[in-house]
Parts: sequence; C-alpha cells; structure tokens
Amino acid sequence: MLGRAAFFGDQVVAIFGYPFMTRALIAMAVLALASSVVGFFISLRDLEFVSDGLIHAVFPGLVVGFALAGSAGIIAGAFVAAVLAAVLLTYLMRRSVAGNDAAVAVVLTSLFSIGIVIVSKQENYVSQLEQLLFGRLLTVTDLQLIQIAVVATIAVALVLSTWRRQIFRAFDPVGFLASGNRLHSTELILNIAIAMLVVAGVQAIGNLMVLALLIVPMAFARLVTRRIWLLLPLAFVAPLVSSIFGLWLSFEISVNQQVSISAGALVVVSLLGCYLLALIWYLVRRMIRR
Amino acid sequence: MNALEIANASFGYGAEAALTGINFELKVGESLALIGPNGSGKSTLLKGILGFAALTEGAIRVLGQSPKKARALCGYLPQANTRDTDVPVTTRQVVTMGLFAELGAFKPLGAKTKIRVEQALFRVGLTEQAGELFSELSGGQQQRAILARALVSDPKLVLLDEPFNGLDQPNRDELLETIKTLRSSGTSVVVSTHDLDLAREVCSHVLLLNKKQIGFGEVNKVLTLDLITETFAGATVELDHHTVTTTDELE
Repeated sequence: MLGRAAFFGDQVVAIFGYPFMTRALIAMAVLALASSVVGFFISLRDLEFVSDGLIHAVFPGLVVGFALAGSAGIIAGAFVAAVLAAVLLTYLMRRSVAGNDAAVAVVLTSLFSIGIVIVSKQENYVSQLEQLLFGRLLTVTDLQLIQIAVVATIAVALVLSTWRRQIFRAFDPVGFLASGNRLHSTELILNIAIAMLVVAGVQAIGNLMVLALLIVPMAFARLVTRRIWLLLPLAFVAPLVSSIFGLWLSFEISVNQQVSISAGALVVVSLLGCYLLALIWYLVRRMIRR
Repeated sequence: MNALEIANASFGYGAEAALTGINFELKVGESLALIGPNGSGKSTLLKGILGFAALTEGAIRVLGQSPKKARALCGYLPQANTRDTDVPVTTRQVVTMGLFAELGAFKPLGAKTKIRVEQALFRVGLTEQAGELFSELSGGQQQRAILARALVSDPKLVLLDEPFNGLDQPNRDELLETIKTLRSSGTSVVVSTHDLDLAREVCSHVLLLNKKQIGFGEVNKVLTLDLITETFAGATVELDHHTVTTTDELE
C-alpha cells in the first residue's frame, strides 16, 4: 500500500517536472492564493452575481486586446475593461438605477454580446473564442505567468490594504458609514480587485470558468469551518489540491488514453468535487447534531 | 458649543421631506428622547443628524460642524436589522471596528487600543463574551456589542435608534445603566424610543414628533397630556396616572 502511494507520488512529481506543467501549476497556485483573499469578501458580501457580471463585462476587453495585439494583448485589453466595468457596476449598484441585479444583468449581457460581435469578425473565430472562453492552462508562457502574478498581486494588495474597511462594510454597512468610513470607495476597490482576479485567471482557465475560482473555494471553506482565521487557508488549499489533481488527470488521460481534455476544465471539476464532499460532510454533521 | 443646533429644518429622502419644522438646540451633556409613533420621523431625524437623510430646508450643525464632518465624533447604534450575522466576527472584533476609522488601514492594534476595546466591552457587560462569535450572542447582547462599538471611540454625541426594541428585562436594565453612565460622564445622548417612562428616567429633554415637531423642551414640561395626545392620536398610554388614547405600538 505504502509502496504504491510512494510510486504514485513519484509519478506526480515527475509529471510536474515538465516545464509546461510547472508553469500551469504555478499559475494555478498564484490564482488559488489570490482567490482565497478576494473570494472571502465575494462570499461575505454575496457578490457572486456581481462577479459573474464583471467576468462577462471583461470579455470585450479580452477580444479587443486579442484583435489588436494577439495573445500578448489579452491582458492589457482585459485590464482596461476590468477597471471600466468595476467603475460602471459600482456606480449602477450605488445609484440603484434599475435594482442591483437588473443593473448587473444589463451590463453583463450587453458587454458580453459586444465581445461576441467583435470576435466573430476575426478569422478562425471559433478557435479564438474557445481560447478566450475556456483558456489554455497547459500553454501558459513565462510572460503570461508573470502577467498573471502581477495582476493577481494587485488584486490581493487592493483587498489587504483595505481589509479592515472591507470587513466592517460586509458586517454592517450602516454602522460602517456612520463611523466616518467611505462606503463608495470601499465598494469600488473590492469590485476592482474582483475584476483584476478575473483578468489574472482568464488566460489560465478562461473567461467562463474563472467564476468557479472566485466563488467555490470560499464556499467550500465556509462549509468546513466558521473560524475566520481558518477560512482563508482552506480556501487556498482546496483549489491548490484540485489543480494538482486536475492537471495530473489531464496529463494521464492525454498520454495514456490519447484523449485531449481541457486541463482547466478538469481543475474546475476537481474543485467542484471538493465542494461536493464538503457539502456532504456538512449535511451529515448537521443531521448528527439534530 | 452645542451638541446639536437645528433651525427650521426639514429632512427627507430624494426631493420629498419626511420630517418638517425641526427647531431646537441641545447643549453638550444634555440627553434627548425622540418620541413619536411608527413612521413619525424619529429614525429620519437621527439619519439627518448623521447626514444620511438629506436636509431639504433649514440648517443643522452637529458639534459645531456639518453632519458629514461630525460623523467621526458620533457613536451610532442603528436598528438591529442592519448587520449581517453570517460574517464570522467575534464580539471583540465587532467592538474594534469602532476604531478602524481612527486606526486607518495599517496601524497595528497597540496595547492602548486593546485596553480601550476591553473597557468598552466592560462598560456594556460583555467581557465574558468577548471571544464568542457575534452571531452566537442573544439579541440583547448583540445590541450591547454594537453599543460598545459606538462607545469605543469616546464619542461626544451618541445616537441610539430604538435601542430597547425586543430586549428582555436584564438586557434592558444593562442598557439603561450604560446610558445613565454616559450622561453622567457628560456625553450627549439622543435616543429614539416609544417608552415614555424610559425617556423620563434617562433623558433631560424630549422632542415629540409626528412628521413634524410637536414639542421640544425639558421632560416634565413637554410630556403633557395635550402634547402626547397630539403626537399619538388614537390608542392608550399611561401618563401620570391619566389614560391617554393613542394609536400605535404603545398599545
């Protein structure tokens, strides 16, 4: 049994010795760390739908960046779109122009469709669309890895530098404002941080699946514990373990079965598996307590 | 300097005024009970003092400043439905939040800050619950924790919005003691309440409201049958062994 485990361990280490697998794993580790910090406040503030809105709103930026400068332009385009989308969504939510959810839905669908219109004008548009939507985790380059690390660091820095304000805002917005704190800037900073994490994650696992990275790790952690100091480490470990497992599985299937399956999708499926296990554990624990 | 100076003021949300004709001055160290039926504008006035409700007419100075600038000098206990108990914070962390504006983003919680937090917890009788999750406290204890958060920054003016709603007798007594201590320490207090006896017990002044100012002055001069009847029209209130007919939650 032990010998088998050791063999499996050696095999996994060997697989991650390949440079493209190393880069993929580092990218996912960086994203896991950033998503544990930013995702904490997405979960506390119930900003899951807003995050979805930001993800879709970033899409035209990806497309324009790609159209203008190819893969190298994706991050720059997404960065600009992310900041604009965060400002727009924060403004619409504050003004309650048409209700929070309606405002997000309008921005989400309009900008996403604009992105589709632009990308459909390109040659090989199906292939390009697939890359933008689902990412290419195994082809992350050194340059992209640096870009991911820089943008993820910005997202984390934004949240950490306003940590106290974000906690107070999440707990009691009325008390927060009454204590002389600035509500609008606090909300804008968090929305920009979410958008930055979208930008960071989009090249690795694509525009659509990055939502799982924003939401699932903290949802998993909150099923496991209510201790605030334990939430972040758990929300980091879950996507990290899922990434190792998903990447390993993707490699094994493509080498042994000669079948190409999206590595990003397998990472996300593994993450959802973690969530499912935590959910079962939570429900069983609740039943036992009753 | 006065704690509050309000001259011919109207407050509201958007263009429409929810409360009109407010006109009074409250000196530092005095305490004021806002009394009126549901929807009479008590919470609107408190929000006007904090600058959350718009001043549509007249003038207001809070501790000699505009409401927005004076916020940092005020302690505010909002009604119980404003907090999210899903946020996993302890009682001590909740109280510490009251110092975040002063501490800024990075200043560490030093020994002095920690002492202030412990003192605020002690003032409201929650020392033993300091390490417990806020969500696990009873409703009354949660109110006292939020009051401690409002008091930890040593505010010059404390605003309490329906602090006694839903409290059992022990929690009510604890809160009453805290307000009395605040008064004796020279802090100005404005409290909205339905309870006339309570207003007598802890306040020097009363403001009667029903969409407009019905009366303002020292407790014994304002809590008269005529003014109470004008403020509440319909149901029954006990006042100085007389029965007054009024309409709402005092029933």
